[in-house]
Amino acid sequence: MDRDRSLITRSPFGHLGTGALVVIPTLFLAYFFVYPVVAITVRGLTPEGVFNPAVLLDVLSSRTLQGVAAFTLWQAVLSTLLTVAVGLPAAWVFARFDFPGKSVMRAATLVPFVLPTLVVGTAFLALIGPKGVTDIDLTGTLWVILIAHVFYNYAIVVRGVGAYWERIDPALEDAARSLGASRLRTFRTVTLPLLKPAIASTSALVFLFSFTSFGVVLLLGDINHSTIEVEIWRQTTAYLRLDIASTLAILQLIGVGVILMMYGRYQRRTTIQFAHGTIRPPRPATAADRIAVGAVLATTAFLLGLPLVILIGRSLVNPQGGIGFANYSNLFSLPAMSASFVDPIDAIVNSLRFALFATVIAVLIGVLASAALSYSQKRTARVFDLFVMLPLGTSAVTIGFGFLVALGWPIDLRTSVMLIPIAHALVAIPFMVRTTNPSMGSVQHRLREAAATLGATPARAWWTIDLRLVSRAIAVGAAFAFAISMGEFGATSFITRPDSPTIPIAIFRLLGRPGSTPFGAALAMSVLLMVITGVAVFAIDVLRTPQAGDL
Amino acid sequence: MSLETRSLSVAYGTTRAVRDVSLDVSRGERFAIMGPSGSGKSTMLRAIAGLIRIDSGTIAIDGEDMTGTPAHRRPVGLMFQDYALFPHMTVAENVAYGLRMAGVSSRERQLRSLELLSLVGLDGFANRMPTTLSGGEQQRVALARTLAPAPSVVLLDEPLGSLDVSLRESLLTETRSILASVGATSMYVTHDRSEAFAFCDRMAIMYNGEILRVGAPDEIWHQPRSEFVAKAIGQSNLVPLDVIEPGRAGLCFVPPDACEMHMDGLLTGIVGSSRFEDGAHIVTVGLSDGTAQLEMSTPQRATTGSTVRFDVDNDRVIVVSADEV
Repeated sequence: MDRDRSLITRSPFGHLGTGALVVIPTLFLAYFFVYPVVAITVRGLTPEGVFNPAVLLDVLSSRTLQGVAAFTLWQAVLSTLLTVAVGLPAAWVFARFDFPGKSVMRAATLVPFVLPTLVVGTAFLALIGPKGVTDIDLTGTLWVILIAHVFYNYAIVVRGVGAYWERIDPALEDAARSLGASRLRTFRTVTLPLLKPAIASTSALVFLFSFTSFGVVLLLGDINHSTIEVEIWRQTTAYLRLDIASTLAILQLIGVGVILMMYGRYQRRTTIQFAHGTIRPPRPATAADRIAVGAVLATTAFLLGLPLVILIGRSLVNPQGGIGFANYSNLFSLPAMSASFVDPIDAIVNSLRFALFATVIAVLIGVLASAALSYSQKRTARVFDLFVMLPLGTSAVTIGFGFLVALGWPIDLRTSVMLIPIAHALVAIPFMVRTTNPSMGSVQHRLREAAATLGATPARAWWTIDLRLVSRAIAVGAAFAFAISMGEFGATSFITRPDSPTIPIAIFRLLGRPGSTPFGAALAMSVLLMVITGVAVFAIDVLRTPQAGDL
Repeated sequence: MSLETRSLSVAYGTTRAVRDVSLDVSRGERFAIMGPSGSGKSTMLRAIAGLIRIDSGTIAIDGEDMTGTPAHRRPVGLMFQDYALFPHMTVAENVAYGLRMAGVSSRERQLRSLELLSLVGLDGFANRMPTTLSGGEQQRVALARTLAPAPSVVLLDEPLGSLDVSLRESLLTETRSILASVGATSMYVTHDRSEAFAFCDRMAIMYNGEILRVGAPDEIWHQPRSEFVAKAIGQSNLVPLDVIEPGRAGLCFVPPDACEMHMDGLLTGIVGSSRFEDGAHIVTVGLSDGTAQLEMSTPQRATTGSTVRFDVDNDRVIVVSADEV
């Protein structure tokens, strides 16, 4: 109740200033996100300049496309269930036990999540693809897609649910036990109900990522195992049916909107803080605990490690047989043989440059948006939050496609080099906001008041207190943005220009070539990309503070 | 006057948290506001510090009107209940923060913050982070930080509230002597009467947003005037005046040591319970006519259930008016 009378406003800029904070991110998102999406919609519904639902009806009645939509939903549901089932035990272990190497393990779970989809796809090709180390070829099956999605989204469940689980006072579980509930019963009647919002919000996120999955499905699926996202890409690049692609994009957007709304609803519930500090959890004491923790950790290591180990191992198998670095040296010799091979140095330089720009843009827009979010009124914040999070759900392909359709006006940006970093920044902004907003919101009002009574002007208090407390969260967001940009493929595949390919584009081109030499080079390139993003990820975990938000 | 409030009022919606409060605190005085939680005492402090908007009234410090002055320009230091130490700054940086805002040179800041840390007994803590400190140490850092810019008025909002009892007493004495050594004018808010008594030169009893009584602790103790104030300062033996002086209407408080048990006492009662405390037996006696219960302090034991005779020293009985509230 103190807040309504408080003279120390949360915003250091007054109400007008908060308005200004909203304006810049809004304009950015309006032009680079809303406008392209609207352009796609218009294009889909008015093929020859007039409104014509024929295409929409065609799409809706097409057997093939119905199949794609059904498969997209089906695999997303299965992926979500499987990821939650596999991730929950690990969330429990990370939340409730202390063990040697815990922080390193926790950081490692994040690696697959930020790994470029193409690297993940390539890793699975190396494991269970036609040229893989096993004799099993699972490409073109539902299984490989499910496994890849679990691999990819595992970290969301482990970290999202785990962080929430940690904050549930163990005394509640102890109380249930002392009242006569068995361990299982305690879990069912106390822990699970308390975890529900966290499970729901992470499930929504996993569902969203599986629903709009692109790189993995493109590499590992086939015509019968394809998502709407891949279909949009295929319709555009292979059949040049922009009208069908637009219509599909609209349908997907609707689905994404619904999921995002559910996510937002549960995400808000998870921001309720439990009243207890972070108590260091105990080492597993009983034999049963030790076995459970050991089993869960071994499974995690196997699940997350195997594809990556195979990827690295396979990249060291020379195309002509034998062990060595031939695949890596081929990266440099192949471009000399044919102009259609990308110079690896070029690709790396391009990727780094784009990632740098994308990070700067994402930090600027993301911090402004995050500040606007935490300083504006609850209801405004809720709407603005959904708006800022939209790009997270809108598939990268839609963003790239939208850029192509829309950004010819008012000035033709379609040939601008800046288009790629802007697209990457769009994908990264929601992550930026998610990482910085919680810590911005959690800066205690008391501290601002203390600063005021010690003579700090509102702006000075913000600069010396708020910004300092949030700076690490910003660094985490920036590392995320950098990793995302390095590996971004969906949007880039639309707007890339032949003379400035990125690493993922180079990998994709290599994979499209026949023979074991380009395949080996693709593996080598993937390992390089994995190392670069891996470094960024470890930076994220080193920088992360208790106040910094997760997804 | 160092601090003056005139008809200060603050309302939260329809709840009037502070009603028409006028107080004067003179230079160097230690003033306490005592009242139960929700009585509006913290709101008073926050209004004086300029952290919340007031509805009416004025606030003046050192004779200068501060009513419209923003918090950061008031010569007021506020020590928060949970200390509100900046978690990202070292102890020394916390202490020097106010000086930094005042534009004091970094060399001077350093000297002054070390000086203050030494004043509060935290030599060698300069480079520690606040989260590594114990509650008592944090309290001292908060005090040093509050005093560093040499504010005209120091406000303390339940500064010992989150510490355990044994620590509270020693820190209270220490805080009191530190404030005295820098000659600070201070206003101390607490719900604990022994804290208020031990701290202040003068105090105000606050209830429901209103100041019921202002005065020195002994003055209030001997003349609480109203039932509520008497209870607030810890008088517990409330009896109808009629019992002690037959025929007189009204209420009175009987100090436990104003009762004397002896064979020819005029009053009779039955012993309910007895306990030993601070060198005397505290005996609870129910009056035979059933009108009241008295706690009396006696040198001898009394057996539960036995009938006792006693007298009350009429001169020491405190007559109060009954509360309408």
